[in-house]
Amino acid sequence: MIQPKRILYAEDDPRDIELTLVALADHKLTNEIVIVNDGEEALDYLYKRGNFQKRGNGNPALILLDIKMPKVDGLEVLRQVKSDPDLKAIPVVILTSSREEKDLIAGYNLGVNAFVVKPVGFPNFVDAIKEIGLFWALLNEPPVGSIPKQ
Amino acid sequence: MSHRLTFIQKFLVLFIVVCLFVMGFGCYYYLNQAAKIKQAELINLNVIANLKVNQIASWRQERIGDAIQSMENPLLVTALNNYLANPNNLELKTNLIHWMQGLQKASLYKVSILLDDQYRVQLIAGDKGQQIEPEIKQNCLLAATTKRIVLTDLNRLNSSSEIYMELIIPLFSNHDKCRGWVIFKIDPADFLYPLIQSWPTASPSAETLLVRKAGDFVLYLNELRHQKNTAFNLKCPLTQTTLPAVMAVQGKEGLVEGNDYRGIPVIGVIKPVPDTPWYMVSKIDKAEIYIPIQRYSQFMIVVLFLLFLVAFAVVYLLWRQQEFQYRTERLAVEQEKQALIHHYDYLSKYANDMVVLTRKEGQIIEVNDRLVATYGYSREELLNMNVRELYAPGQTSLLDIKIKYEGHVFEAIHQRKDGTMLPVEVSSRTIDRDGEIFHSAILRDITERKKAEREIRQLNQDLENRVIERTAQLEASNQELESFSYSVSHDLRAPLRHLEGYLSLLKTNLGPQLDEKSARYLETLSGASRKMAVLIDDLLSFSRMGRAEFQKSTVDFNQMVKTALQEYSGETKGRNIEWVIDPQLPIIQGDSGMLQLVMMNLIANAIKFSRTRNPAKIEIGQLQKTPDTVTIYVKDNGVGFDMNYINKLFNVFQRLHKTADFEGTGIGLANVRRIIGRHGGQVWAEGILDQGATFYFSLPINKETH
Repeated sequence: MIQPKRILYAEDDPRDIELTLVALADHKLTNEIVIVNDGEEALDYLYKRGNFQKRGNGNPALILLDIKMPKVDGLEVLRQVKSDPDLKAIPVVILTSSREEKDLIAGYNLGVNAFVVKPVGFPNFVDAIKEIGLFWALLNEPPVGSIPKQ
Repeated sequence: MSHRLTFIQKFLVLFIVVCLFVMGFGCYYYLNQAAKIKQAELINLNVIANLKVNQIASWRQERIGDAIQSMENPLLVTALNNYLANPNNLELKTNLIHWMQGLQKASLYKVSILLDDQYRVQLIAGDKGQQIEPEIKQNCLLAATTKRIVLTDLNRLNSSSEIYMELIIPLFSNHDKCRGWVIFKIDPADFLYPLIQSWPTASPSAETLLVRKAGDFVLYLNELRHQKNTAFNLKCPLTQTTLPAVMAVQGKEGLVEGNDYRGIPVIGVIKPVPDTPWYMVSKIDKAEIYIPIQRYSQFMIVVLFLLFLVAFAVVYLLWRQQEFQYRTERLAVEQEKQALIHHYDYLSKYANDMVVLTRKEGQIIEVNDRLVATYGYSREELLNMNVRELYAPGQTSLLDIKIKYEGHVFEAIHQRKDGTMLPVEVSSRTIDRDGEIFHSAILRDITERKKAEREIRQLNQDLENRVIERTAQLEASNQELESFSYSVSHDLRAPLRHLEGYLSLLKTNLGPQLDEKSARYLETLSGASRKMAVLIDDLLSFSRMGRAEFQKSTVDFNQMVKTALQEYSGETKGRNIEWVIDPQLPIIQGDSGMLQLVMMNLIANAIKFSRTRNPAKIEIGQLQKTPDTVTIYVKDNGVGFDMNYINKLFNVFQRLHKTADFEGTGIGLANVRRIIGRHGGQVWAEGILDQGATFYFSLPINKETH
């Protein structure tokens, strides 16, 4: 059985994944993270479908979502999570390349918990990812039913 | 014409009223006068009757007075007694005869007789052949027994044809024994009849008569005016009740009407004569009384006739005068109408428009040639038509509204003779000529105008369609642009970020192995990618500015300058900048976010390009306001620019300075121009190389902008 992880990270670009993992590595958060490559996989994970049929029970303590993804985009995933009574308590942070007002409005309307524009400068990027991971995955008390800290 | 009819009727009525009034007055006056005349005549009659009765009565009284005087004269009585005792006393006889004759003469007695108690005639004066009839004897006896004087009734004794009345005086002795009588015979023809017959006025028919009842008859006692030999000869039966004489003897008194002995209608007054069985009838022919009345009535008829004539003449003259006036007015109206028509004739020759003149109900009186030519009817046809026949079916008419109107202009659809429709503009008005209503209308063929209107409508419709089409296209391209910039922001930034990330990782990975040269290369790579990131950001913001919603609010430039200065306090720190800021910059309506960006850009440029100056001088002010616009400028004493390149100044990514000297992307002024353009304003600049630059922008005041 695949162990459930505390952070679900949906991102299609492997470079972004790598850079993000670098940023998270300093705080030993990499073990807590499960990476999916598109929205569909993210939903499969959350609903324990497809490849994730056999994962253990429990919801992630945080979902990191890229907006632009193949198949199902980040906003759609957000919509489904926030409209599902079992999932909507999970904090969702959107990570995006640019500050598009349209996306910002749509995200907050769907109930996103944070909206973060990935800085171009790498040090800033690392700082931002760190902050997110620290705050949402460690400091923040996750809702009931989340996977506990190891 | 009804006007005329009522006019005549009016005068007819007036005439009849006047005639009726005259007739009524005449009748009243006639009857009144007739009654007055009759009344006067009757009073006259009555007065005469009274007079006569009184005269008769006093005449009788005189006679009795004569007798009493004689009877109570002791000398005379003694002398008479003595003579009766001694009839041979001649002297006495002579004296007594003398006395008798004297009295006879004085009192108009016909005969005087002295009778003894044996009814023998002892003395006689006058007519000698007198007999003493039994009636006389009876009266003598009556006088003797009553010891009173008797004046007998008129009588005609059988023995003679003469009519007498007797005055009988009884003679008494000392022993009251009747010794005899003195008898005076009175002939009524001497005094009584003339008295009765005389009439104080000159009347041809009036008369007085005495009557008495005699058994079943009425007896006329005197000679009548209109019939001879009537005294004691004329008798009329009492059954003849219309006879005034019969009425008299039957006790009627006063005024009576009837037919007299001739059978002629009369009016009379009946009076009984006191102490006698006589009745006096004073009468006059009705005809005579009515003569003046008839005359009067004839006079009245003449007068009435004359009055009628006068009334007729007056009414006729009045009518003629009115008629004349009416004709004069009619003539004036007619002339005016003719003038009007003439005027229309004149108009018709020169008017381009169609002209029609109608009566109140729309009958056409006059049309001009243009109208004839346009509608296709002949002039004669039109003059027999109602203007309504020119309307296309379903058109309502101003004539139906039945009000007077002045210069009403409207469009209508008319129909030509051939049935084709004719759109016209009608300018109509009512004309009031002394109460007679006309309508005039000027009609203009607006076929061409209608066609043009239709074309304009079509053009407008086409234009609208085109606008819709273009808007759709624009929206589509906007959509594309948006998705483009969306892609740019995501897809261009991501590789840059990766570049930065991996450069950083590379640097970390190499660590001490990284030589100085390689480090500089890495740094250059990193700088290039950062620069690209800034360019992309600026481009995106410029693109967004073009599409952002225009949000109008009050914009206070004073506040904006303050905000900008605060924002750039970092950059200006440690620099010697002399600020000259107009404390009363304008306040206008506009998009405050966009205009803030303009001020930020211009002030940032001024700060940036005056970097090399000490002191730098930056001036923010405004030019003289016009009613429509405000103009703000930002002036610096910086490096300025070459006016030859002014055209490039406001274009995207156009820079007049080397990046090495002054950083920047060349997007700021492009943004400024775009924002001011969206406000409907203008932007321009003046610069002198190495001396400074001034950037101006003007904005419309209170003008709707996008």
